[in-house]
Amino acid sequence: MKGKQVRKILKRVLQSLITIVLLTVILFLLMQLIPGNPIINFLGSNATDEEIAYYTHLYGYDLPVWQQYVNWIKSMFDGTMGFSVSLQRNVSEIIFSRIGVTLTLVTWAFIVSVILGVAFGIIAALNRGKAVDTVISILSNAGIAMPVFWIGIILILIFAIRLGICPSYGYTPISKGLGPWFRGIVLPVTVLSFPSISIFARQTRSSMLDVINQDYVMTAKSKGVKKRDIIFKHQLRNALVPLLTIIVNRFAQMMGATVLTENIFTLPGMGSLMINSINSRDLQLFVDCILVIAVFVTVANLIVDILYGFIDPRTKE
Amino acid sequence: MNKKKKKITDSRFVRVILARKSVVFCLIVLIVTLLISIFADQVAPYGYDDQDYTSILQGASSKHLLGTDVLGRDILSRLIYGGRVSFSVGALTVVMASIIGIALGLVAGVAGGTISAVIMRTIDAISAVPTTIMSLFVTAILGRGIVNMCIAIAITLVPSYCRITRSQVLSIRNADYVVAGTLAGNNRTLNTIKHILPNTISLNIVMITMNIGAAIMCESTLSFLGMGVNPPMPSWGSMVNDGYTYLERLPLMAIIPGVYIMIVVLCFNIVGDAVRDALDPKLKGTLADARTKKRNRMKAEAASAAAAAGAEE
Amino acid sequence: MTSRKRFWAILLCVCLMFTLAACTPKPAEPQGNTDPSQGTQGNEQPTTGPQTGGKLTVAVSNLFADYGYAPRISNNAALMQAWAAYESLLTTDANGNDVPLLATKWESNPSEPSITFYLREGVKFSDGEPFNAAAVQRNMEEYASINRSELANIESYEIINDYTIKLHQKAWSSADLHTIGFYVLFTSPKALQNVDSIKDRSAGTGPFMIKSFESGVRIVYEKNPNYWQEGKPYLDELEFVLIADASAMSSAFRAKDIEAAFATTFVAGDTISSGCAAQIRSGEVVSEKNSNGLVAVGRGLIFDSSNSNSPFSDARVRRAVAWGLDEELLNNAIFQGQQMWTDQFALPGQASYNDSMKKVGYDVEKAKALLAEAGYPNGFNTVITGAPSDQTMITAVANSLKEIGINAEVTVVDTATFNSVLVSGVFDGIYVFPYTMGDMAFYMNKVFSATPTSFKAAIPNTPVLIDQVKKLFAAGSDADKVKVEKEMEEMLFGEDGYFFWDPMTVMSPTFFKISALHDDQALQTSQWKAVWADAWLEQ
Repeated sequence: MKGKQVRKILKRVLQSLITIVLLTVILFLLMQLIPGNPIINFLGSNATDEEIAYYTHLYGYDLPVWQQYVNWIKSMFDGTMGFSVSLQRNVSEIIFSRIGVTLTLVTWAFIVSVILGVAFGIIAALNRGKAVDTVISILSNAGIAMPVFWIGIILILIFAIRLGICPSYGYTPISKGLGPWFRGIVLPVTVLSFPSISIFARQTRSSMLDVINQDYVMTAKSKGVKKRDIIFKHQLRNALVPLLTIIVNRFAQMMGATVLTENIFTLPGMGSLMINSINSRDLQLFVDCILVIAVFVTVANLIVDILYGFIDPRTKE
Repeated sequence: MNKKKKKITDSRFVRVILARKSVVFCLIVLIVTLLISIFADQVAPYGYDDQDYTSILQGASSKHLLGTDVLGRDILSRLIYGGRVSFSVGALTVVMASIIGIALGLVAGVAGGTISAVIMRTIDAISAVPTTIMSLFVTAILGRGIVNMCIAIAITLVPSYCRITRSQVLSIRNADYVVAGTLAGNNRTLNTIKHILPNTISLNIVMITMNIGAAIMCESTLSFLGMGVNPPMPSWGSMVNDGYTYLERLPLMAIIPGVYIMIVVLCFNIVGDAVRDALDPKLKGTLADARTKKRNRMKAEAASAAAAAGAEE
Repeated sequence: MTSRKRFWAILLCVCLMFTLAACTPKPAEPQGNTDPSQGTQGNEQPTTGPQTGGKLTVAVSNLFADYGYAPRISNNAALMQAWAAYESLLTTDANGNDVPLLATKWESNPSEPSITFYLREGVKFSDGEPFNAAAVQRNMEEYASINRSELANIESYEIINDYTIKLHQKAWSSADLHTIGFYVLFTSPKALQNVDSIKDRSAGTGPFMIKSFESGVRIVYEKNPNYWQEGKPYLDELEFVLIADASAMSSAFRAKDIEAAFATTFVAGDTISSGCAAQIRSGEVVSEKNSNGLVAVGRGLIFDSSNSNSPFSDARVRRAVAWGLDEELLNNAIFQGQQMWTDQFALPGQASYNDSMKKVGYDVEKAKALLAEAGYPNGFNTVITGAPSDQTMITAVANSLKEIGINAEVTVVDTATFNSVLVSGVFDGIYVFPYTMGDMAFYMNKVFSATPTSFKAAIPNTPVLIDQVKKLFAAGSDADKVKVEKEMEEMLFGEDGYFFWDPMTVMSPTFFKISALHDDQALQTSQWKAVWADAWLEQ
């Protein structure tokens, strides 16, 4: 069956590639529809017609649409990803310098939310019906419903403004010391991971409860297998199946949430880059950022789908 | 036979929903908030644009229960009117998204082949972009306003309906009773649709209740970023944005609308969970085998939880 | 059951406590410097002379794309930061007069027409190249090659000697001296040969040089050891950090992460004032403003008067709006006295302010009568548009207009669209726009000339006003100029004025700084300028 599997995997990879190509077309078309001109925004309202015409020609915005698209695709392969008018350098350079902050945020938020979320979920499932379970369930329901920007504002109000413990702007790199780095990053990471912890907790709890009465668990129990082994070997592994899809989904949403978080905490990452670029109508930059994120997400989905095939034999077809 | 089925499900549905006190409580909260917003003109102590320059940025007082904003407008009244925007965006968005999504899903499932591939890859492309960013992009194109926001958010919600519908179509398409219908001489397409719709509807209803919360959350996010409705019409998200500027002077202004958003979305989510539980046994109605049933249910659960996940941004 | 209830109770209490702690409103703190009519330096005289050393971090809400290539820098906010490394031929003093910088003397010859600049000797660029007439010509040609409007009127250059250069104009214009003298920045010709080498570096004559530049985050300048003013600059390093949000600026001050901040909007100033109220009271933080009108940015309402279908094509309707808005009340309410109100293109007290003309005040009945006369006894519907930062003002104005029967629907557009409209002038109804208050000739020329560059489509061609602008340029003496300016004020904003736009409010940016910073002269000579060479920190 190996050949069949390989063919299936290849087919799935092809699907992802087509998705990405389609995405570039969609994004490019949408780009053409936005009102507003990157040149005017760059030059300011004092610009004369001649200045505008000069720069429009210089940056190739007067070329026919299909040609601009082709140039853009070409620029992906030669490493520049286009030229950003508002920041006056290659897009790839800009993204490269800002993506570190976003990835740091998202990675930490992810780790924290997976660990805490799954832990809370297990606790809730094992103590079903008791007070702990109720509290966790209420908190996780509320956590999903809280607007991300609102959590951010409240945390800023309490910890940065009233207590003064954490800075309310800027990114403190680890080179400035572990303490300052931690204080600078703890608020944004909390904001990002809040909804995810809630969702993972909920999902883990319900999956575990689903599985808890399955035959094989009862069989294992009757055979005298220790409780701990049951939890981790049987329950968790089967609870993982839907959890994986959700994890990938959360990753995508988290990348979207960084837009808000970086805006509120003034962090120089991809999210604030996107907001600035759409405000200055530097669409080349904006669309490239979206593309980068979308590629990340698509690849993540691809990996999960392939893994699905290996984890759950039931869904192999 | 259909009539009997309907009656049973109706009463069972209602029974399951009303079983838990928390769900009932949430339903009541939602209905009360909705009514207050609809009858805002009668209920709100002031208009939403009654500017009073003598009492700017005041805290809670007997004249203004929740204080005033920078133009002297009563925050409580603006909160009440703000509900109008949230509820209408929630409803309109979800209706748009479900109609388009279900239609696309049906087409993709029934047509198959290239058409299905194109539709599904486009849907994949759209869902690869996080909801906040996609709706930001579309709002930048269309401009501000309630309808534009609904379109922008609806686009990001379409994939969930489309995928569910299509997978339903695929799983049912070859079931015995459907094939039987075709053999009996009915048009294959119409026949499939006739059998699929009832089953699809229930899954989509679950999706709808989950997505209303997501839509309201997305609307408040867009409003917070400054892309929502035009002033002076208040929206909870834009009120948080206004309050953010004066966070040090009057924190109330930014915090209270957020609490409102949280309560409404929370209630929608809890009711949505209950609706899903109530409709779950409906899935038993398909004559698909146990394995597919389980897979569909897991996928549905994952998808609906993921949709609720799309809620908070 | 009881343990459950206890859990709920504890949870509820914790939530309540949090909410109470967070929700207590802070009382509105008195502003540090509430009387805008007093331009101040903010703090008492320092006890010692200038001390060298130290690093100054200034928060700004705008960072340009790159400061290495000076010719591209035209927007005002960027200039303020660019002036740390680059200099121009002349600068302005506190009264708005041109004073020497890189040029020691200049002569205008309207009959040739030409302007001659006598350059300062002994100045070097930071890469060692000499500053001379050839360098000046090279730079001006560079500016012209990217179509900068400042050089549009220059026909040719004549190098008389190493330190004297004559610019031959195509036609005489009194504005050229200031525009070219003030806005052209000089880069070393050697660096201009290879523009890539100055992408993240600078090669100017200024007191500082670019040390590092993180696009969209910060720019750090270090002392230029070869600066032509001996002993200056005093500061070792100067850093501009981008903080877009005023609350963040305020927290940064309190955390002592920054030493100064430019607040360019009223809201920003207000936020920082209330956030740093304790420091302002103790004198640790001071604020500086300028109120002699040289650094003012006005906000006004402009109408789509060239559209014959619009009610605003009738001057009576425009005047009705001016009569119907209580601008003084709006200013005091929304801006709490922090911004100035004026009814002309100049501030009361300035030379060109026409105090003797018949002015337009606040009279609702008169406004309604004018509307009826123009054919709108029951008012009409229109649209009022503006940028997000002016949201509060637009909403307040729309509300006030209802009193005279004009129903204005509020539309807030994003900054990008807003900028486009500023250039094209295509809009419906009323637009809230910013305008710089400065030299009348220079700014009116942008609107009323044969080739307007601002709001081209909005304002109809008005020969009378175009002629008046020409008279402004041709004016010989200062007294003449003032007379012509006052005439223009009356033509535009008098009782029978054209009122193509209605001036609403004038905002003067605020510079917040720690009291240990002296002699920065921020905002004293120009809206966006500080004299970084003179600034020093008390250790």
